[in-house]
This record gives sequence, C-alpha cells and structure tokens, in this order.
Amino acid sequence: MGDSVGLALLFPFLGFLFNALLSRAFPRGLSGIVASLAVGLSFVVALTTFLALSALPGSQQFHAVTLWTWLVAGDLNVRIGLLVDPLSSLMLLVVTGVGFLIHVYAIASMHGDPGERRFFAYLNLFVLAMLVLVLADNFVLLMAGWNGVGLSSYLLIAFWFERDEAARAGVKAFVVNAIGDVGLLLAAFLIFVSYRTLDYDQVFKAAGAGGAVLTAISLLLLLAAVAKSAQLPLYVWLPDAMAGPTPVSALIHAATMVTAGVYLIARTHPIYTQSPEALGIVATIGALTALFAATVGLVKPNIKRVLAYSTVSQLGYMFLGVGVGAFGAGLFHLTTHAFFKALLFLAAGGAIHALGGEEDMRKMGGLRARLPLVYWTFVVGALALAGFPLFSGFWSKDEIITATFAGPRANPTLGVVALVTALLTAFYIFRAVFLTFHGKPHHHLSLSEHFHAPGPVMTVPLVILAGFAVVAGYVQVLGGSFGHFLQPVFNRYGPHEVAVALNPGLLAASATLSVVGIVLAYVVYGGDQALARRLGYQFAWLHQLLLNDYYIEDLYRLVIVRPVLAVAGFVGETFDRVVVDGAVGGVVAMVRYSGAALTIVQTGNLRGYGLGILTGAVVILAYLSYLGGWGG
Amino acid sequence: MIAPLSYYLILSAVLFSIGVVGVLVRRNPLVMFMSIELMLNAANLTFVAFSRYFNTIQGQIVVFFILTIAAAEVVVGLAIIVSIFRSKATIDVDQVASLKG
Repeated sequence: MGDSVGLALLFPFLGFLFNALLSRAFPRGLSGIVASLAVGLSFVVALTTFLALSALPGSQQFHAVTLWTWLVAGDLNVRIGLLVDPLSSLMLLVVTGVGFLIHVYAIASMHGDPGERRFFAYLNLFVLAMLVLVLADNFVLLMAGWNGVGLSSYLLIAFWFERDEAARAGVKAFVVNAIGDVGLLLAAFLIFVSYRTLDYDQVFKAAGAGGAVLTAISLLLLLAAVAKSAQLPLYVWLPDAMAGPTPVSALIHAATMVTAGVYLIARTHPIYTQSPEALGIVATIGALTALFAATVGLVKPNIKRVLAYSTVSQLGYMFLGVGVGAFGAGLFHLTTHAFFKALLFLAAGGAIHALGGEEDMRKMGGLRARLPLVYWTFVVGALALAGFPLFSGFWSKDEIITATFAGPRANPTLGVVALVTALLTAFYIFRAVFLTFHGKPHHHLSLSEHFHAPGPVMTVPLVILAGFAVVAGYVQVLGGSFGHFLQPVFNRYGPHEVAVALNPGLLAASATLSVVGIVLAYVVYGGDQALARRLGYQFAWLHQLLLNDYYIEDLYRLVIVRPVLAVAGFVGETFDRVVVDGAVGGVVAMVRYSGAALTIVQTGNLRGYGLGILTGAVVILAYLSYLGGWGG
Repeated sequence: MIAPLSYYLILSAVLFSIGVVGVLVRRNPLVMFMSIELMLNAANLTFVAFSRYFNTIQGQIVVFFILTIAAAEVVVGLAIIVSIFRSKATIDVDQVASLKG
C-alpha cells in the first residue's frame, strides 16, 4: 500500500491543468464539475489509504513513498518523497473530504461569475499545494507545499482583483505569510546545518538531545506556524481574507491553509518536546489568541468577519492543545473544527447569497422563515462551535481544556483563559445566529421575489457537513479511537503523547459556560436589541476598542506599514530620479561631451596623423630610454 | 674585413628618417608610399644586421614576412589611390579629408 497515495496529488493536478489550459474549449459549467471530480477522486484515494492504514498494527503504519529524486548536492539529497502515516492520512482525509464538499458548493455559488474557470483552477491548485504540504516527508517538499498554499491563497483572496479591497487583502495575506515563510526557511537552514539532512525521519531521530539549537529551530518553526495559522501577532491577514468568495473563506478556514500551522507543530513534535520553553510559548500564544479573537468577535457587524475571528480563536485552542503536549487533542479539534467551520461559512454564504451579497448582520434579520435549512444547519454549526454538550466541538474543546488543566505540561492559568473563551465563543456565535436569522427582516430583498434561495447543490453539502458537525466527536468519545489512531505517530520517537481522561467536573463547567453564553446572547440580541444598544452606549470605549482589534492594525500601520511605504516612496521617487536616473544620464552626457571634444583631433589630414604617430613614438621611446637606459 | 654593426644601424636610422620626413612633407601619395617602403627596408636592414651579428636566422625570416606584407600593403594602397582618383580627380592627400570629424 502507500504507492497509490501519489494519485491523491495527481487528480487535483490534472484538474488544475484542465481548468487552467483546456477548459476554454468546453462549456463554462464543466470546470466546476471537473474540479469537484478531481478532489472527489482524491478523497477516494484518501479514504482507501486511511482504511488500509487503520487495518495495520501501529508499528507498520509508516510508509515512505519516493516518487523521484529532486536534487542532489553534496550532503543535500531532496526527494519528492511522501510519508503516509496516521497523521498525514488524517489530514489527507480532512483536506480532500471537506475540500470536496466546498468544491461542490462552489459550483452553485460561483455559477455565472465571469472568472469561473480561473476560480476552479486556483481552487484545485490550492488543494494540490495543501496535499503536498501534508504528505511531504522532508522539509524542502514541505516548503514547496507551504509556499504553494501561500500563492494560491493570494490568488483566491484577490480573486475579484478589480475590487480594491480584495486586491489589498490578497497582498496583505501574501506579505504576512512571507514573514512566516522566512521563519520556515531559516528553520530548514538551521536543521540542515545541525543535522546534515532535511528528511523528517532522520531529523527527528537526531533531535533526541535538547539544546539551544532545538529551541531556536522550534521558535523559527513557530514563526512560520503563527503566520500561516493566523495567531497573534500575525493574525491580521485572516479577517481581511474575507474579501474572497465565500467558498474560498470556507476552504482557507476549515480544511486548508490555517490548519497547516497546527499540522507543522504536530508533525515536528519530536523537536518541540525537546524544548519545553518553545512549547510553553506555543501554548501561551494559543491561549492569548483564543481570548483576543473571541473578544473582537463579540462586536463585529460583518457575519464573515465574526466567523473569521472565531477561526482565529479556535486555532488558538489548537495551539493551546499542542502547546500543552496534547497533540492528539489539537488535531481532534482541528478535524471537528474543519467540519463545523466549513458548515458555518457555507451556511452564512447561503444567507449572503440569498440577500444578493449582503454581509452586514445588522441589515439581515428574520431569515429563519425564508431559509429554514440554512438556519438549522447554521445553528448546528454554531452549537458545535459553542461547545454545546454532545456536539462535536464540545468533545474536542474539552479534551484541550482537560489537557491544559491536567496534562503533563498543565498550565491552569491558560486553562482559565480557555474556559473564559468558551463562554465568549458561545456568546458571539449566537449573537450572529440571532442577528442574522431572528428578529425582524431588515433587508429589502428578504421579502421580495429577488431572494435567491439556495438550490440542492448548495444545501446537500450543508446537510452532510451538519451531520459530521454533530457526530464527529463520537469517533473519539466512544472508545477513543481518534487518539488511538494517532498514537503511533506521537510515540514513534519516544513517548510524547500522554492520554488524559476527560474530567467530569471540567466537562460540566464548560457545558455550563456554553449554555450561559447562549442564554446571554439570547437576552442581549434575542429580542428588540434595546439592551445591546444600551450596552454599546454605556461601554462605548470598550466597543470601539474591540471593533478596532485593540488598535493592533493601527499600530502596525503606524509602526510598520507607514515607515515602509515612506522608505519605498523615497526610493521610488526621489532616490530613483536623482541617483539612479542621474547616474544613467551622467554616463550618457559624459560620452556625448567627450565625443564632441575629441572630434577636434580627427582632422582627416593624413600627414597630421603621421605627425601624431611620430610624436607618439618619439615620446614613448624617450620614456623607455629614460626608464631603462639605452640597451641596458 | 666586415663593417661593424653600428654602421648598418646608422645607415638604417638615416634611411628611416628620410622615410619619415618623406611621409610628412610630401603630398603625393605615391611618393609617400615610396617613403613608407624606405622605412620598412630600413627596418629590414636592422633585422638582417642583427641576425648576422648574433649568428641567428630569425631576423632574416622576419624580413621575408615584412617583404610580403609590404607587397600586399602596396597593392591595397594603390587600389585605394586609384579609386580616390576616380571619384575626386585628385590624389593630393591634403585635398582628401572627408573623414574629418
């Protein structure tokens, strides 16, 4: 087995080639079908790989497939090598499974867009890059996928590039991700210098002894993960990435891209576990980001932005999970989050689509009656996100919280932060539910016949995702098969993963917080919102602070963006005009004037030239005789 | 008795100087060519003299090259003079200054 896993890469690649090169010869509607089919076939490959792998005993679940050798130079030997193990096969399953549903949804939601073919080409490229990222068995191929994801996310976020906002968001995502790419690149350099290899297996075996180098590598990898997974302080690109089409948001937030950072830390866990300091920083960043993004999500008026901040917040949970050494719990939350966040985005997209592109929740309201299916699936997603008891998010979030309180690297302070965040999460997502679907309709389209109720191509993925959002948690709870499946990966290079039993007290506490959050949201936003307005008035300063992301964006604009733009402006205008153009123009002028001056010598008089030659010869001979005497 | 080397060198220098003066003062290109030939042969004389003096053959070989080159140069030069005369009806070198910059 294992050899066939290359097919999972081949199908999206063929889909990309078809949509990029050939699809103009076919009807426009075909590109979405081909793209979905490509990812669907990848999903089949992922499923067979997953099933074959789980039938094997734990010690045999590691298969390295070398497709070909990429480059050899001295000690450096880079192969196009794929690693099939429980971790990568799980990621493969999530990426292709959720990705497939999003592709199908996109067929309907992108129907009629002039760039439909281009869109599906990018979408396939995105999935391909993400699959390369998770399947790579060395750091160079990882980087190829990593940067491929960065590139295709830029292309997709700036898909509607004629809109200034989208073009800016794309550039912002690319630039912020480039900061992380530098971290990954430096980490790879450091790894190669220290261990003379870039293959996961050899690096992880050699990384047994701790030391400052390992901490440095971990921190550089963390920089990469923080940028990709939109953690503090590099979260800024993700909320802006909402400028892309809704399926792109769903794909970036749920199945691909942002999960790459969590995956990277889980994949390089043998390095991280040697450096408790680095893991502590991971956990702290995660907890702070979770809290920060949840508070900001409380006040944002745009429904996609609320979901964006909730993604940042949930990724914070995952970082917290892997930061306290509960790698399995972090990936469990990654998986359940993939389902319910894709669901929330696609359901929100349904509401946005129905109102002709309206994204401001204050202008929505009362959509429950017109969009019952979208409403109920959104509520299911919201319950899962809020950690409502027995929904998938409840189990996965609690595993992280439990590990934070009781795991081998327990940190009760961060645990309290996680619990507070759970309350806020329940509150902000049900604020979105009540504002969007309850109350009176505010939008002029919500009662008219121009209302675009979503068709079956959009609703079927919603229902499937809703099903998973409910049941995905039980894979773990009933028999713990999720953690059990990943166990071999995290114990391969030493016992790094310690299973922590769920604590009934903590379960009860987080369930209570979740319910309290939902009730509070109902009290504030369920009725005529007089209370919401009064609170906003009384705590205007707080409202403004949260609405402006604690002024982090403004700080960056002041400290980084403005000076960089000022320097660029100086270089582009003053320096370029005065120094560069001056140098070029100076050379031209020098040649022109010296040429004009020297034409005086060129008389055309043959005897004059002869005299010149004679004089020159006499002078040279005189000089030589002066230097060395005559004939020595 | 054999004349000493310096005689040959002085004769050669005199011939060369006559050639130089001829090139510089005459306006008729044919005479200028003859003067150039004079200079070349002055050089040839020097070569032969040194060759004899040092008892080596190289100098005499170089003379053959110079003779050949001189012949070729005269061919080209005369062809140029003929074509200049055809187009300008004069061969006074002071009248032919169309390369003035």
